[in-house]
Amino acid sequence: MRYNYDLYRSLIVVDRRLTKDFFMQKAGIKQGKYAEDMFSRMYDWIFSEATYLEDVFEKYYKPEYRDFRDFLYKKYIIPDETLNEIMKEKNSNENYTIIDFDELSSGDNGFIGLVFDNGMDEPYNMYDKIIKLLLMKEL
Amino acid sequence: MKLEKYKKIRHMIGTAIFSFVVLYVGDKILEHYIQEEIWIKRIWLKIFPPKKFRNELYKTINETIEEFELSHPYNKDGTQFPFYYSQVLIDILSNHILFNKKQNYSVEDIQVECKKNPNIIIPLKDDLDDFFNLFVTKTKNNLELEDLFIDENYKSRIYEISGTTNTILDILLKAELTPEIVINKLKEQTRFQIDKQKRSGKYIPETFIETNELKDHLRYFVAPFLFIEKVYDEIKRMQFNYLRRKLKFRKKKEEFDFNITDFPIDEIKKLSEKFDSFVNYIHDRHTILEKMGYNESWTTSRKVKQKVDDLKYLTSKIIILKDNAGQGKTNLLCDFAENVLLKREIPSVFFTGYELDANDIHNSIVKRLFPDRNYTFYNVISRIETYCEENSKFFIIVIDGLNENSNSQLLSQNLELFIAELLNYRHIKIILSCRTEYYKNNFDNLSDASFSDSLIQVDNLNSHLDEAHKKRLFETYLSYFQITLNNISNEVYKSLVENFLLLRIFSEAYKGTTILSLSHIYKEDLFQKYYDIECSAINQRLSNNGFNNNIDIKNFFRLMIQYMIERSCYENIPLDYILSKDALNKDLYIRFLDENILVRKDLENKNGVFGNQEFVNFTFDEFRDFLITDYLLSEVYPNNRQEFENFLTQRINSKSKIKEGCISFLFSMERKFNDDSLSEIIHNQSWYQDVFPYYVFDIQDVFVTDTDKQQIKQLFLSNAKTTKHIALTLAYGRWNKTLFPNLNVQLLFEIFNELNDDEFKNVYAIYPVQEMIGYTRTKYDWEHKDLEILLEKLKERLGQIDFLEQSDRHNLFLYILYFMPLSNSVEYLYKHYWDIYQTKDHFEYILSCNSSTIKQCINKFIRDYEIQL
Repeated sequence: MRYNYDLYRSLIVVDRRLTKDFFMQKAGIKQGKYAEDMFSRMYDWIFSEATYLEDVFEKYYKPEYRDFRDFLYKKYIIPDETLNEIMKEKNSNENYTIIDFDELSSGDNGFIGLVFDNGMDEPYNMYDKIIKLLLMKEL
Repeated sequence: MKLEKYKKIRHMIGTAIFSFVVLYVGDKILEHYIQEEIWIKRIWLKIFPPKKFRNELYKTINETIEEFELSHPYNKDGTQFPFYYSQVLIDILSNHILFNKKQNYSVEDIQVECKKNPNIIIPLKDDLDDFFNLFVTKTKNNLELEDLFIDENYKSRIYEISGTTNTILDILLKAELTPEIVINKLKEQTRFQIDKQKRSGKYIPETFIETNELKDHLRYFVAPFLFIEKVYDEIKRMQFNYLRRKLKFRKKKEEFDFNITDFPIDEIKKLSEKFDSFVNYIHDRHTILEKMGYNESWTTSRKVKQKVDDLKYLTSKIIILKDNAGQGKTNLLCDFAENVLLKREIPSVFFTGYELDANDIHNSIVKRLFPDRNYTFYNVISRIETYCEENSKFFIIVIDGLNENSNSQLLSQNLELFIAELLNYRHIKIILSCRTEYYKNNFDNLSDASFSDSLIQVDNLNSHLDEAHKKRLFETYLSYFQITLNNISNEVYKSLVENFLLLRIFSEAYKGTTILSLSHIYKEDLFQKYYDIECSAINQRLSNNGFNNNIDIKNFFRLMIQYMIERSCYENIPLDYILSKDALNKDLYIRFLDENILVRKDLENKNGVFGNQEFVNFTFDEFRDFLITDYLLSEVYPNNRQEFENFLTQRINSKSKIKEGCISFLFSMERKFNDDSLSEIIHNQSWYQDVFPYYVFDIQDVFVTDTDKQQIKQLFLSNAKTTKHIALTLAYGRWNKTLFPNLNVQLLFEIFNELNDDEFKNVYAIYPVQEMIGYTRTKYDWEHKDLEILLEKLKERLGQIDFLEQSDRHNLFLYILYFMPLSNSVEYLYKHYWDIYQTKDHFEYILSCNSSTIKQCINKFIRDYEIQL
């Protein structure tokens, strides 16, 4: 699940066990093909500078907020209903966590449209597939 | 003669012993509690150079205390200490022991004295007896003391030593001041200030919305030892692969190097020289990226710039927040103090500019912390430094509203000196806030001061609030003011979230109430209610603050309004004028100006000999217009009708700034007076007929007359704008006959039924054909866009289970029936509605209209769907 809380800034629920290898393997990428480079860059685009919010909360923000939910509610101004959905998804698996993702930080900005905003229907819509990959779910 | 001399010498010895005991106890306290205070020891040694006598006395008393402590152990928790380390001991020794007044010695007195300082462990009677018996025994048995003292000091030193007793007592008093005591006082003071701002209404908890990096930057500023690790980690994880890959394709074959391995975090987090080199390195990387100027380097440059900014907040020592009045400076600082400084246990003090003594900033801070003690600023600050050093924290001085100080010019000079001096301390940082124009005029010297490199200036605190932020603020206000609002119309919601001053007024006026449905805001009622509540609260607050009990702040407003009406001048009322009219309450009015949200003090730069002048303005023009109207109706009209009429005719004209607001309030407030003569004057004003179709909907429903309704009917087709306004207001805003039993959509149906086909074309014109842009950026006609939007909403709502539980909602479907000739969508939606509800009354009613087109269309619908009436 992705929540776009500001311009080019998103919160995404991901499985913290996810590795680049798993990501590439489950995406069905064969070595040496163009897709290998693309999906490798896509993984880096999402994770290389992402902030794992629970870790940051525990280390830096905990004294200020009641709990992690309160932190998200107040610092990211997430509407109650949306936050309930996010927390429901996060709590559905103990390995799920939330990352704060600056979509522009790596500079590889072409992925924004491709993954989040291509407005295409299945089977060309990448969004659902990527979200499943991030949760280490079967495609 | 010999005997007298001997007595005199004995007395001197007693005084001197007393002095040395003082000295000793002071030293002991220094050893125990302020070990870092080398400078105090130096002063001490300068006054009393080491001598044999002193050493001997030390030895005796030290033995007493050590022996006593062995038999009377206490809990050394760093906050409490036994009586023999306190000033109480000195008093006891001098009065009861050294001067042979042991018989008068009262355990109760001593215990009472000890209780005055919560940090002294209260001694039991047996403890006291044991201690003093032990001390006296040891002193008397040490005959060497007397000889040594006479030998060393009798000739000259004794008077000098005695003369310093008071100084020593002072120092002793200060030695009781432990870092823990100071830190607790700081917390108390900051908490007190926050509560004070809550009471005055300048701070509403939870209403500061973090929409940009400012709060995080302030966090970095106040807790750099913690947040340097966060920033460092973010810098460490920055990737430049994409940029480097792109640079390879450039003709110049540029490279970009970014490597922070020379700056290990263990060194960086000390915030010392290595940290400075690290900051320079990141800054240097940013400069290189910025110079590249490629598309590929832009996003990379942007993220490095963010880190340059983060580092700037970590290293800087002073922040100045500048913005215009009412933009949330106090709200931000109170939120920050409450949720960041206090919760993180960062030592801080929080002052308003009003509270600072421009002549003596140091003392005004100390006196707020320790009003009944004679501590100096340096006594206090040295304890804070010790605490901060031990706990890796910074001490934060917050001064909110420099502009509130009555002596801005002097404050600006002394503040510059004060800050420059404080920057010599490693662990002190300062946050200031000031209104922009006051800063520019009075405090701009700070921008060019010696510490300007350590200074960050933040302009314009507010960033854009999107719909989610507005909703959050709206909900927070309702929650804070304990308002339960079951239903609110979109129009009213929008008017409240687009104008947070109105939301604030609404929230305060309806504090603690339950509102079942809010479909219209009657501003005259709202403002009147708020005005009464607020003035009463201000009077109470001023009275509690020690001002005159009989004060009524409404007099201040009255003076302002009188000035406005007499001079037809509605802005920039000279403060001096108001103060001159009520000189007795001058201080009260100045205080009030800094503690309210209705009026504000402004500064205007005047050229020439007059210099700058201060003025008073309303923060909310609409509120000013309400008060002017109220004054006209309640004070001017009853006393002098001609003057009232003249004012309306001559002053409320197209050029007047108060026209829009005043005629709106005149229109609605006139009804409540039930005075034909007054109504006649107002109805005869040139603007009355023009505004009637608009303002009639702002009158409370109970005051709307049949004549008003007739007039609405007559004006309905007067022009396209009026037709649209009346139709949409009645249909969208007043479909609920329960809420508006008098003036509601029924009047619209009556009007519609009287219109013929030609006249109805004017009604259809309220839903014109509009253009829209498609995905391929091609323009298309969007048939009757606004009507389609309405139908879409009704369709959505129709699917909801409870939509038509309220019978009044059926009126909206009768309304759309009149537009069946305009759009097929109406037919489809109404068919859907008919299948569920089968409201035959709608057809019976609409078929009595004068429009043959509508009747044909409805009859066709009835035939097509085989509806039996």
